[in-house]
Amino acid sequence: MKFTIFFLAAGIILLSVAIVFDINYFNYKRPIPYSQFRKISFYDFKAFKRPDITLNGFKEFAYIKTNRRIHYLNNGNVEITTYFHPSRSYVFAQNIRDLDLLTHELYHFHISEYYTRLLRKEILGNPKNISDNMIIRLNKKYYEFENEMQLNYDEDTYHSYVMQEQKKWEIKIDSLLQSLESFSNPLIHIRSKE
Amino acid sequence: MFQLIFKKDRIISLFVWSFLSFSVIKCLSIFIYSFVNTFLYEAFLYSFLFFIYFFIVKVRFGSRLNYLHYITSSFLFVIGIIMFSYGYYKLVMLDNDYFNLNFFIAILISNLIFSSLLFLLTLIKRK
Repeated sequence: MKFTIFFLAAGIILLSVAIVFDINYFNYKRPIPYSQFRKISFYDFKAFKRPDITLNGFKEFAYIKTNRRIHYLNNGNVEITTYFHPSRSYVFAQNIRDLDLLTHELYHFHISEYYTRLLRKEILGNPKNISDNMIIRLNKKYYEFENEMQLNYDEDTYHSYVMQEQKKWEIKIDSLLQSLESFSNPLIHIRSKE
Repeated sequence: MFQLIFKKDRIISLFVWSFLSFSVIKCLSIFIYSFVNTFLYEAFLYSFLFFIYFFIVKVRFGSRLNYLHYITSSFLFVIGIIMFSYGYYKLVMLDNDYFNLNFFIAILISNLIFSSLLFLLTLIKRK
Protein backbone atom coordinates (compact mmCIF):
# COMPACT_ATOMS: atom_id res chain seq x y z
CA MET A 1 0.00 0.00 0.00
CA LYS A 2 2.85 2.35 0.90
CA PHE A 3 4.41 1.63 -2.50
CA THR A 4 1.20 2.52 -4.30
CA ILE A 5 0.65 5.76 -2.40
CA PHE A 6 4.26 6.89 -2.72
CA PHE A 7 4.47 6.26 -6.47
CA LEU A 8 1.03 7.74 -7.04
CA ALA A 9 1.96 10.90 -5.13
CA ALA A 10 5.29 11.18 -6.99
CA GLY A 11 3.44 10.73 -10.29
CA ILE A 12 0.91 13.45 -9.47
CA ILE A 13 3.68 15.90 -8.47
CA LEU A 14 5.69 15.26 -11.65
CA LEU A 15 2.59 15.48 -13.83
CA SER A 16 1.61 18.79 -12.22
CA VAL A 17 5.02 20.20 -13.17
CA ALA A 18 4.55 18.99 -16.75
CA ILE A 19 1.04 20.45 -16.99
CA VAL A 20 2.26 23.90 -15.91
CA PHE A 21 4.54 23.97 -18.98
CA ASP A 22 1.60 23.18 -21.24
CA ILE A 23 -0.84 25.60 -19.60
CA ASN A 24 0.26 28.13 -17.01
CA TYR A 25 -2.36 27.87 -14.27
CA PHE A 26 -0.32 30.16 -11.99
CA ASN A 27 -0.85 33.05 -14.36
CA TYR A 28 -4.02 32.01 -16.11
CA LYS A 29 -5.83 34.26 -18.52
CA ARG A 30 -8.98 33.29 -20.33
CA PRO A 31 -8.78 32.66 -24.12
CA ILE A 32 -9.23 35.83 -26.18
CA PRO A 33 -11.69 35.69 -29.12
CA TYR A 34 -10.60 36.88 -32.56
CA SER A 35 -12.81 39.98 -32.35
CA GLN A 36 -10.41 41.35 -29.70
CA PHE A 37 -7.14 40.66 -31.54
CA ARG A 38 -6.19 44.36 -31.59
CA LYS A 39 -5.87 44.34 -27.80
CA ILE A 40 -3.26 41.56 -27.76
CA SER A 41 0.28 42.47 -26.71
CA PHE A 42 3.26 40.41 -25.53
CA TYR A 43 2.01 40.89 -21.97
CA ASP A 44 -0.73 38.44 -22.91
CA PHE A 45 1.80 35.69 -23.67
CA LYS A 46 1.76 34.15 -20.23
CA ALA A 47 2.92 30.56 -20.62
CA PHE A 48 6.27 29.32 -19.28
CA LYS A 49 8.98 28.97 -21.87
CA ARG A 50 10.70 25.58 -21.75
CA PRO A 51 14.21 25.87 -20.29
CA ASP A 52 16.91 26.62 -22.85
CA ILE A 53 14.54 26.24 -25.77
CA THR A 54 15.82 27.91 -28.94
CA LEU A 55 14.61 28.28 -32.47
CA ASN A 56 17.48 26.98 -34.60
CA GLY A 57 19.87 28.70 -32.21
CA PHE A 58 17.86 31.91 -31.80
CA LYS A 59 16.60 32.67 -28.33
CA GLU A 60 14.43 35.61 -29.41
CA PHE A 61 11.17 34.06 -30.49
CA ALA A 62 7.56 33.67 -29.49
CA TYR A 63 4.94 30.97 -29.76
CA ILE A 64 1.23 31.59 -30.17
CA LYS A 65 -1.46 28.98 -29.52
CA THR A 66 -4.81 29.32 -31.23
CA ASN A 67 -7.77 27.07 -31.85
CA ARG A 68 -11.45 27.28 -32.70
CA ARG A 69 -14.40 26.36 -30.55
CA ILE A 70 -17.77 25.24 -31.77
CA HIS A 71 -20.75 26.01 -29.55
CA TYR A 72 -24.03 24.32 -30.35
CA LEU A 73 -26.73 26.72 -29.19
CA ASN A 74 -30.10 25.63 -27.80
CA ASN A 75 -32.00 27.20 -30.70
CA GLY A 76 -30.15 24.95 -33.18
CA ASN A 77 -27.68 27.60 -34.35
CA VAL A 78 -23.93 27.20 -34.13
CA GLU A 79 -21.29 29.64 -32.96
CA ILE A 80 -17.72 29.10 -34.23
CA THR A 81 -15.06 31.33 -32.71
CA THR A 82 -11.28 31.49 -33.12
CA TYR A 83 -9.43 31.90 -29.82
CA PHE A 84 -5.96 32.93 -28.77
CA HIS A 85 -4.80 31.12 -25.61
CA PRO A 86 -2.62 33.45 -23.47
CA SER A 87 -1.69 30.79 -20.91
CA ARG A 88 -0.45 28.45 -23.64
CA SER A 89 1.50 31.11 -25.61
CA TYR A 90 4.93 32.35 -24.66
CA VAL A 91 7.55 34.88 -25.63
CA PHE A 92 11.24 35.00 -24.73
CA ALA A 93 10.71 38.25 -22.76
CA GLN A 94 7.35 39.91 -22.10
CA ASN A 95 8.70 43.46 -21.93
CA ILE A 96 10.12 43.51 -25.46
CA ARG A 97 8.93 46.16 -27.90
CA ASP A 98 9.45 44.09 -31.03
CA LEU A 99 6.36 44.97 -33.06
CA ASP A 100 7.53 42.89 -36.02
CA LEU A 101 7.58 39.73 -33.93
CA LEU A 102 4.16 40.50 -32.44
CA THR A 103 2.76 41.15 -35.92
CA HIS A 104 4.19 37.83 -37.10
CA GLU A 105 2.52 35.97 -34.24
CA LEU A 106 -0.78 37.78 -34.77
CA TYR A 107 -0.80 36.71 -38.40
CA HIS A 108 -0.80 33.12 -37.16
CA PHE A 109 -4.02 34.11 -35.39
CA HIS A 110 -5.35 35.63 -38.64
CA ILE A 111 -4.60 32.38 -40.49
CA SER A 112 -6.64 30.48 -37.88
CA GLU A 113 -9.50 32.94 -38.37
CA TYR A 114 -9.28 32.54 -42.15
CA TYR A 115 -9.88 28.79 -41.82
CA THR A 116 -12.66 29.41 -39.30
CA ARG A 117 -14.36 31.61 -41.90
CA LEU A 118 -13.89 28.90 -44.54
CA LEU A 119 -15.54 26.43 -42.16
CA ARG A 120 -18.45 28.83 -41.57
CA LYS A 121 -18.76 29.28 -45.34
CA GLU A 122 -18.92 25.53 -45.97
CA ILE A 123 -21.50 25.01 -43.22
CA LEU A 124 -23.63 27.87 -44.55
CA GLY A 125 -23.46 26.32 -48.02
CA ASN A 126 -25.64 23.46 -46.80
CA PRO A 127 -27.33 24.69 -43.62
CA LYS A 128 -30.39 22.40 -43.62
CA ASN A 129 -28.69 19.03 -43.94
CA ILE A 130 -25.56 19.52 -41.89
CA SER A 131 -25.19 17.32 -38.80
CA ASP A 132 -23.00 17.82 -35.72
CA ASN A 133 -20.73 14.97 -36.87
CA MET A 134 -20.29 16.60 -40.26
CA ILE A 135 -19.26 19.85 -38.55
CA ILE A 136 -16.67 17.95 -36.46
CA ARG A 137 -15.30 16.25 -39.58
CA LEU A 138 -15.11 19.56 -41.47
CA ASN A 139 -13.37 21.17 -38.48
CA LYS A 140 -10.70 18.44 -38.52
CA LYS A 141 -10.23 18.88 -42.25
CA TYR A 142 -9.73 22.65 -41.88
CA TYR A 143 -7.30 22.09 -38.99
CA GLU A 144 -5.16 20.03 -41.36
CA PHE A 145 -5.24 22.74 -44.04
CA GLU A 146 -4.52 25.36 -41.41
CA ASN A 147 -1.51 23.50 -39.99
CA GLU A 148 -0.04 23.25 -43.46
CA MET A 149 -0.47 26.98 -44.07
CA GLN A 150 0.92 27.86 -40.60
CA LEU A 151 4.02 25.78 -41.34
CA ASN A 152 4.49 27.35 -44.78
CA TYR A 153 4.09 30.81 -43.26
CA ASP A 154 6.81 30.14 -40.66
CA GLU A 155 9.06 28.50 -43.22
CA ASP A 156 8.80 31.31 -45.78
CA THR A 157 9.19 34.15 -43.28
CA TYR A 158 11.63 32.19 -41.10
CA HIS A 159 9.53 33.14 -38.07
CA SER A 160 9.48 36.85 -39.02
CA TYR A 161 13.22 37.19 -39.72
CA VAL A 162 12.76 37.51 -43.52
CA MET A 163 10.92 40.82 -43.68
CA GLN A 164 10.21 40.78 -47.41
CA GLU A 165 8.44 37.43 -47.18
CA GLN A 166 6.67 38.57 -44.02
CA LYS A 167 5.18 41.55 -45.88
CA LYS A 168 4.12 39.30 -48.78
CA TRP A 169 2.34 36.97 -46.39
CA GLU A 170 0.65 39.86 -44.59
CA ILE A 171 -0.82 41.09 -47.87
CA LYS A 172 -1.88 37.56 -48.81
CA ILE A 173 -3.56 36.82 -45.46
CA ASP A 174 -5.25 40.24 -45.33
CA SER A 175 -6.71 39.70 -48.78
CA LEU A 176 -7.85 36.15 -47.91
CA LEU A 177 -9.58 37.44 -44.79
CA GLN A 178 -11.13 40.30 -46.75
CA SER A 179 -12.48 37.87 -49.34
CA LEU A 180 -14.39 36.08 -46.56
CA GLU A 181 -15.49 39.19 -44.68
CA SER A 182 -19.15 38.16 -45.04
CA PHE A 183 -18.39 35.08 -42.87
CA SER A 184 -16.74 37.02 -40.04
CA ASN A 185 -19.74 36.69 -37.71
CA PRO A 186 -19.17 33.73 -35.33
CA LEU A 187 -22.91 33.02 -35.20
CA ILE A 188 -24.23 30.76 -37.95
CA HIS A 189 -27.96 30.43 -38.45
CA ILE A 190 -28.64 26.79 -39.26
CA ARG A 191 -31.47 24.46 -38.24
CA SER A 192 -32.87 27.43 -36.37
CA LYS A 193 -35.85 26.61 -34.16
CA GLU A 194 -36.79 30.28 -33.85
CA MET B 1 -1.19 -19.42 -16.25
CA PHE B 2 -1.98 -15.73 -16.12
CA GLN B 3 -3.72 -15.86 -12.74
CA LEU B 4 -0.60 -14.59 -11.03
CA ILE B 5 -0.28 -11.57 -13.24
CA PHE B 6 -3.95 -10.58 -13.08
CA LYS B 7 -4.07 -10.50 -9.30
CA LYS B 8 -5.57 -7.25 -8.05
CA ASP B 9 -2.46 -5.99 -6.20
CA ARG B 10 -0.19 -6.77 -9.17
CA ILE B 11 -2.48 -5.03 -11.65
CA ILE B 12 -2.68 -1.98 -9.38
CA SER B 13 1.12 -1.95 -9.00
CA LEU B 14 1.58 -2.17 -12.76
CA PHE B 15 -0.84 0.67 -13.49
CA VAL B 16 0.61 2.85 -10.74
CA TRP B 17 4.06 2.21 -12.19
CA SER B 18 2.85 3.06 -15.70
CA PHE B 19 1.31 6.28 -14.30
CA LEU B 20 4.59 7.22 -12.64
CA SER B 21 6.50 6.38 -15.83
CA PHE B 22 4.09 8.53 -17.86
CA SER B 23 4.60 11.43 -15.40
CA VAL B 24 8.40 11.04 -15.45
CA ILE B 25 8.49 11.12 -19.27
CA LYS B 26 6.06 14.08 -19.40
CA CYS B 27 8.33 15.95 -17.00
CA LEU B 28 11.48 15.01 -18.90
CA SER B 29 9.89 16.07 -22.18
CA ILE B 30 10.11 19.67 -20.91
CA PHE B 31 13.89 19.35 -21.19
CA ILE B 32 14.25 17.08 -24.24
CA TYR B 33 11.64 19.03 -26.19
CA SER B 34 14.04 20.30 -28.82
CA PHE B 35 15.87 17.02 -29.54
CA VAL B 36 15.63 15.54 -33.01
CA ASN B 37 13.35 12.47 -33.02
CA THR B 38 12.29 13.06 -29.41
CA PHE B 39 9.82 10.20 -29.61
CA LEU B 40 12.67 7.69 -30.04
CA TYR B 41 14.29 8.83 -26.80
CA GLU B 42 10.94 8.70 -25.07
CA ALA B 43 10.16 5.19 -26.35
CA PHE B 44 13.61 4.05 -25.20
CA LEU B 45 13.08 5.60 -21.75
CA TYR B 46 9.65 3.97 -21.44
CA SER B 47 11.25 0.58 -22.14
CA PHE B 48 13.88 1.18 -19.51
CA LEU B 49 11.26 2.27 -16.97
CA PHE B 50 9.26 -0.85 -17.71
CA PHE B 51 12.35 -2.97 -17.09
CA ILE B 52 12.55 -1.48 -13.56
CA TYR B 53 9.10 -3.01 -12.96
CA PHE B 54 10.80 -6.43 -13.08
CA PHE B 55 12.71 -5.51 -9.89
CA ILE B 56 9.64 -3.93 -8.27
CA VAL B 57 7.84 -7.27 -8.60
CA LYS B 58 10.89 -9.02 -7.20
CA VAL B 59 11.11 -6.73 -4.15
CA ARG B 60 7.40 -6.28 -3.53
CA PHE B 61 6.04 -9.74 -4.24
CA GLY B 62 9.21 -11.79 -3.72
CA SER B 63 8.88 -13.52 -7.09
CA ARG B 64 10.51 -13.22 -10.49
CA LEU B 65 8.51 -12.68 -13.66
CA ASN B 66 9.03 -15.30 -16.32
CA TYR B 67 9.30 -14.10 -19.91
CA LEU B 68 5.63 -14.71 -20.75
CA HIS B 69 4.48 -12.74 -17.71
CA TYR B 70 7.06 -10.07 -18.47
CA ILE B 71 5.84 -9.56 -22.04
CA THR B 72 2.18 -9.63 -20.98
CA SER B 73 2.95 -7.01 -18.34
CA SER B 74 4.72 -5.01 -21.01
CA PHE B 75 1.53 -4.94 -23.12
CA LEU B 76 -0.52 -3.88 -20.11
CA PHE B 77 2.08 -1.20 -19.32
CA VAL B 78 1.73 0.26 -22.83
CA ILE B 79 -2.07 0.14 -22.56
CA GLY B 80 -1.74 2.12 -19.32
CA ILE B 81 0.51 4.68 -21.05
CA ILE B 82 -2.00 5.05 -23.91
CA MET B 83 -4.85 5.56 -21.40
CA PHE B 84 -2.97 8.21 -19.44
CA SER B 85 -1.79 9.96 -22.60
CA TYR B 86 -5.32 10.07 -24.00
CA GLY B 87 -6.64 11.38 -20.67
CA TYR B 88 -3.94 14.06 -20.70
CA TYR B 89 -4.78 14.96 -24.30
CA LYS B 90 -8.49 15.26 -23.49
CA LEU B 91 -8.09 17.19 -20.22
CA VAL B 92 -5.07 19.42 -20.83
CA MET B 93 -4.42 19.75 -24.55
CA LEU B 94 -6.58 21.41 -27.21
CA ASP B 95 -8.45 19.78 -30.06
CA ASN B 96 -5.83 20.88 -32.61
CA ASP B 97 -2.92 19.34 -30.67
CA TYR B 98 -1.49 16.05 -31.83
CA PHE B 99 -2.38 12.65 -30.41
CA ASN B 100 0.05 10.47 -32.30
CA LEU B 101 -0.86 6.77 -32.23
CA ASN B 102 2.36 5.89 -34.07
CA PHE B 103 4.26 6.95 -30.98
CA PHE B 104 2.59 4.23 -28.93
CA ILE B 105 3.41 1.65 -31.59
CA ALA B 106 7.04 2.82 -31.26
CA ILE B 107 6.86 2.31 -27.47
CA LEU B 108 5.40 -1.16 -27.95
CA ILE B 109 8.09 -2.18 -30.43
CA SER B 110 10.80 -0.67 -28.24
CA ASN B 111 9.38 -2.52 -25.23
CA LEU B 112 9.36 -5.81 -27.11
CA ILE B 113 12.93 -5.46 -28.34
CA PHE B 114 14.84 -3.42 -25.79
CA SER B 115 13.05 -4.68 -22.67
CA SER B 116 13.45 -8.26 -23.92
CA LEU B 117 17.19 -7.71 -24.27
CA LEU B 118 17.36 -6.35 -20.75
CA PHE B 119 15.35 -9.36 -19.54
CA LEU B 120 17.85 -11.62 -21.27
CA LEU B 121 20.66 -9.89 -19.37
CA THR B 122 19.00 -10.78 -16.06
CA LEU B 123 18.93 -14.45 -17.15
CA ILE B 124 22.63 -14.39 -18.10
CA LYS B 125 23.49 -12.80 -14.77
CA ARG B 126 21.52 -15.47 -12.92
CA LYS B 127 23.38 -18.25 -14.75
